[in-house]
Amino acid sequence: MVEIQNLSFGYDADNLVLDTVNLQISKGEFVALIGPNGGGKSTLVKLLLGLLPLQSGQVRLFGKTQSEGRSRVGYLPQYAHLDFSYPITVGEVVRASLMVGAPLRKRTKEDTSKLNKTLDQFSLLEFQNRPLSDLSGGQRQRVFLARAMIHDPELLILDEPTTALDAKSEQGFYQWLQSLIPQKTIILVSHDLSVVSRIATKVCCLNKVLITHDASESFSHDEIHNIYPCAVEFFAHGHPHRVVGHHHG
Amino acid sequence: MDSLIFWAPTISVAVLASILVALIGVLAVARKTSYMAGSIAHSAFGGLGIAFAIGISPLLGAGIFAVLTAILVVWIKQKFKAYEDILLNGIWAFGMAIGILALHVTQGYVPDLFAYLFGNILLTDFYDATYLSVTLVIVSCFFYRFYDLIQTVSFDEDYAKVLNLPTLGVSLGLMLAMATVTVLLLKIMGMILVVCLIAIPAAAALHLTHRLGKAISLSILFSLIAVLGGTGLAILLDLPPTPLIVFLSLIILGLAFLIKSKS
Repeated sequence: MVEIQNLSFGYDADNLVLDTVNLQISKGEFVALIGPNGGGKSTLVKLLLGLLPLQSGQVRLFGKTQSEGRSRVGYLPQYAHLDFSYPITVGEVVRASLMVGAPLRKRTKEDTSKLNKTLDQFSLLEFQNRPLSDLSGGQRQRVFLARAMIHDPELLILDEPTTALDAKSEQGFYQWLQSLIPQKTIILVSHDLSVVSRIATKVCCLNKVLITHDASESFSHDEIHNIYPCAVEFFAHGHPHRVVGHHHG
Repeated sequence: MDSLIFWAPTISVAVLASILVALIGVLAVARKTSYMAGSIAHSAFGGLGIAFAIGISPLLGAGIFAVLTAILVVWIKQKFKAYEDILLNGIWAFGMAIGILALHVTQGYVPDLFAYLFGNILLTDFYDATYLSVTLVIVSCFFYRFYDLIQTVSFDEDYAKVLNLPTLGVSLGLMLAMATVTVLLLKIMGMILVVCLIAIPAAAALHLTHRLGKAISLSILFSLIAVLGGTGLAILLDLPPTPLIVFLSLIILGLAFLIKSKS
């Protein structure tokens, strides 16, 4: 489903953010992508989706190039760069994904019923005509999840999806994610090391280089100390559990 | 009755222009691209100068320059985002420089450039109202037909790319719509007023609401108050209308900030 071979990337020539990254993800896998800030997680996601140009290496999505394969992806980006004062309603944000594959076709009754069903599923029906700016951080996160899910994608890529959620919502969110497996394939970028290492089937630690283990395997102390330039507690199945102190990638 | 017929072209042009600048302006301000109207208007000045120098229609010269600038602006935004502000200032200055140079070498009658810089809405006729009506129909159809696309690309361009939506086409379409409206209003309102009316009433409206339809309606209302109010004051006080329209627009913007800060 996802094949990354010898992928290297740098925003400037002297400073590689990703160095010879290799990764294969099969259908139905739940992959957790963890690592320190600035370690290249979001860059890897953007390269995977063709939002950054490839410099060296190869990326295939569903056996195709990124631009051909990405329409089958549900993507939840980190939304720090978005301007929430932009005049757009919740319904408009969510139904955007229905344009995939046919951006110029007119909206149909089926689209409307799909939108209502998805909004209802994410408890957003009452907010459909409200501007996005009126919503709280947690509600906005649900809007972006609904947008990522409405077109029934085969692969979900979620970049730091729990940042705006409280502890209770976070727990519910992870339960919901688990319920999607194995129908969907999931790549979850997260700092929440303990939870993702418990629910993922594959854990990838990234800090310029990528180390991948199945959930049943453990990371060695050496591997972890190479990835995290700070202290990490080990707990869940030998996966890095908690970063102790600050770290900078 | 006679006075109504006399003022009818000015009033119809004011109404049509207010709707056009509101449609263009609200999206431009929301997309944080309203400053590009300045680049387009000033580069159009270069086209005006060349048109006078070689003896073709000034509107055609300004139009060609404005369209080329719109395409250039979109290209710069895509390829040189880090240098966008510098390059746009360069285009602005380049357009003016070309215009001044072309007018300097123009043989014979040199037209009053003040008309294109400051305009005069009191000198409009039904011909202006007619081509503004046609433009309004075209721009409205463009927005209506591509509404969802425009909203998605404007709000989150990266996500629109993941959906393989034509992000470049939408940006270009919006910029060309802005260029068309800017050039058509150049002769009626002048460069300064066009830039002012694209940005300021829309900014005031968006400061009061985050609903697109409501923001466009408010922006039309604010433009109308500024244009008709400024024109009325100009007649009463025997002053040029453009500065008064600009002052009224800025007062409306100030009031919008005040109302928002009190609520």
